[in-house]
Amino acid sequence: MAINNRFWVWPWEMKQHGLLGINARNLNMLFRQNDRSRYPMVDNKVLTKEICRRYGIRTPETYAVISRYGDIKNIRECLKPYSEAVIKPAHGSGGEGILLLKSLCSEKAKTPDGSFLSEVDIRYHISGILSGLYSLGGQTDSAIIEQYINLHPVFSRIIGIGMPDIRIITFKCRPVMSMLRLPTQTSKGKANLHQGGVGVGVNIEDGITTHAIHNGQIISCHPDTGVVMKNIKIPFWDDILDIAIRFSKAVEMGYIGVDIVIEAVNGPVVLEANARPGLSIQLANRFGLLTGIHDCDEYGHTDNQDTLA
Amino acid sequence: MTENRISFIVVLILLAATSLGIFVRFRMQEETAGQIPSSVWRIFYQITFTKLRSGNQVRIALPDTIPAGRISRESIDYSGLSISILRNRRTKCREVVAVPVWKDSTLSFNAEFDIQIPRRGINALSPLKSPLDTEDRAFFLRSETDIQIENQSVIDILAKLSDTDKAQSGLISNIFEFCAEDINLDTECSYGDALTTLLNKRGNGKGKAKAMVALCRASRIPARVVTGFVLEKRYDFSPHLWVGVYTKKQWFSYDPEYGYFAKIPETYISVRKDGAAIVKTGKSTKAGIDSRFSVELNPHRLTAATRKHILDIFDLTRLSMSMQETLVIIMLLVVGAFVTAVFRNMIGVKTFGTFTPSLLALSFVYKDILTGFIVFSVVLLIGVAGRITLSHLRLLLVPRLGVVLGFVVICLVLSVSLLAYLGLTPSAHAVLLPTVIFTMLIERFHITWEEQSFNNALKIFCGTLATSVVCLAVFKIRKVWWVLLEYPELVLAVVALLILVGRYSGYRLTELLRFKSAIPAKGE
Repeated sequence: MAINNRFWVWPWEMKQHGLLGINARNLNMLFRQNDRSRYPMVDNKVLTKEICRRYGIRTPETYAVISRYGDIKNIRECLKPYSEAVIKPAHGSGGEGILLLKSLCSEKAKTPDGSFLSEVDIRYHISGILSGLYSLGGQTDSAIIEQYINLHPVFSRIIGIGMPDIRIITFKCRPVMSMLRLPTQTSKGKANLHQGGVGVGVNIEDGITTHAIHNGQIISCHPDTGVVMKNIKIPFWDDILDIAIRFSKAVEMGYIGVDIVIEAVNGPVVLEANARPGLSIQLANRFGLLTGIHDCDEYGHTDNQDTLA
Repeated sequence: MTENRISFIVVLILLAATSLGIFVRFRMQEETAGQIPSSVWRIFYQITFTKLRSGNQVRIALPDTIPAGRISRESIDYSGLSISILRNRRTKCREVVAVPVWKDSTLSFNAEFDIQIPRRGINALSPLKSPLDTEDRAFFLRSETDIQIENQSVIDILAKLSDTDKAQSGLISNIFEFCAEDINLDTECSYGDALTTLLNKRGNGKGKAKAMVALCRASRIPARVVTGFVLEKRYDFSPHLWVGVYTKKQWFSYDPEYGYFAKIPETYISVRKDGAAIVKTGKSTKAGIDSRFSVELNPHRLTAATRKHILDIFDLTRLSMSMQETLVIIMLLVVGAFVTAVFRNMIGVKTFGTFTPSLLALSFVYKDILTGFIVFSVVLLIGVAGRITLSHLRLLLVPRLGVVLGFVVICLVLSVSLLAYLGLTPSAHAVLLPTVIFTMLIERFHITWEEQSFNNALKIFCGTLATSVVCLAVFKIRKVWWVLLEYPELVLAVVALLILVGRYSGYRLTELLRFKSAIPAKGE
């Protein structure tokens, strides 16, 4: 049966297109390329920021780190100098527990989805972060309060709410695949694909967008704004690739996803990194990660798909 | 060496160890074939009486020393009763005759008997020589409410069995054959009397024994129902019924359920030889009797009787029944982990937690699927509803989980009580395990719902349930329990399989659907 008439693909077709499966990612990428001791560098955003500072890689400015319940009462003092801020868990994953706050000077802060939060709401959210509600593995956590990144004009015409970011997958410190992640109304302003964000493949060479996917389906227009997402030139592309390379060299990890946002004035900054980057990026680019990896490395074809079972 | 090669070697070593274990076990079984290992059995009686009035007499049949083994210890404990131990004049069996001394209170009788059987070959119980006077003869030929010998249907069936052979031994053989072969065994059967069993040609062990007694008595051969216990390794230790037939001035034993003709193994220990009930009350008594009987193998292994051997530690069947069951359950967890690993890593089904599916399945092993499903759905629905309301209270993680646990416990307690009210009592240990699993399931379901979407939460929940059902289907196979108990080294083989799954780097089945859109269609 031709592939057009089927709702599935055969394993050999996937292999032919260099698609990386989750088992192969775990066994051949994560276990081999990423040393276990380096994981905290990307899992803990406080450490990520520290590494970036040391290597001169730009990140959003940190206002405060709250790691004790006793410090939550000082939140008003912490936020006083700023009109906008982001509160996020240091060990968060998948965009969970991130609170974007605007109009902090008024009685109630505003979130991108239009709801208002009182100081009590913010305190409750922070205590949730500290108790480990959003952290990987559920261990107790710290809350980071940092600079609110203003949207670059290129994106403000595409999306309605939230902050888009660019994910670069690096293999042995070389960028192999990239994707622009756009938030939607259904994703509640989060850029993560499994929460309903849109993934747009980006040509790694020139930073021009290619295909887009939303909830696993191929789309061409943004679901909220209807803007066509193909052939958009991402600004500061060379800087973005440079940052991704420098970052992966700094953390000494062979296979990571670096999440970069473009600040309206100052250009790209590293938001966070992921030691277990998802595989949906292959859907957005419509080719497999192994293709890019073979191009840049001696990573042999002999044992990337070997199966014992 | 690559990880694959090392894994492969470890797998080979594990499989070799498994085969070696099974091989050694087979060799040892060959050596000891036909021998009953020395063992100690404990029979428990737990009887409570309600509404027993003064003057009402209760007769409780007790086990006795048998040729195969002797009672090494017995303890009898009773409250509110005055008892004396007598021998039945007619059957020579030991009986406790009890009368209440306290009025209108719950009276109880508990007893334990340890029976020691030395290691030796399996012998048959020899027939019992005993004279039968006219009165006793009439007693063992009488018609009873559940042994209806005067009914026309019984007589008709007997006529069919007796017309070919006139000799008594031939007739008994025909009757036995009819009861053992032609009456289908149905342990779930609701009736246990001779007539219904004969008419339906279907009955439980009780019905089969009574049918045989009825046919013997109808042909004027004295016969009796014998109640007792079978001290052999099996999972059903409820009292067993067989038949005593009096010919050639001897009582011969027949077991139409297990098919023993004229000779039964020595491991059959009789308790009552004139009826199917261990506890008997007078006809006019309206007392409520709750009686439980159980048998356990080797509560404390008797070491003096046999030489200890270091290899015995590999023989789990020597342990007590309750310990065997617990050990099988923990071994089943490994099997459950394998099923879950296959579902997650090869099929690509998402589940809440790694061990949740197998633990969930384990908590349903003792319930029937329908009851389990009802309890599970009720607890889950109320739990999730409670968890949604709880999110408005903004509680911290640990106390919040505690509150969800509270919901789950209340729901479980209520549903168990409700089940008991409906007459479907689940066993106590079936209740203990699921509380924590239910709590974590509700919490994870709710968090996934809030953070991702309801559809996603439902999808993962269905994945958990599907994995769990497959685990349960495996756990429900009694044969698996037996095989694991007899050959615990198989756990090593399961571990080997887990290693193989752990090194599987191929695509998951669900990825064949997921990555369809990653491959450009022809013509694009």
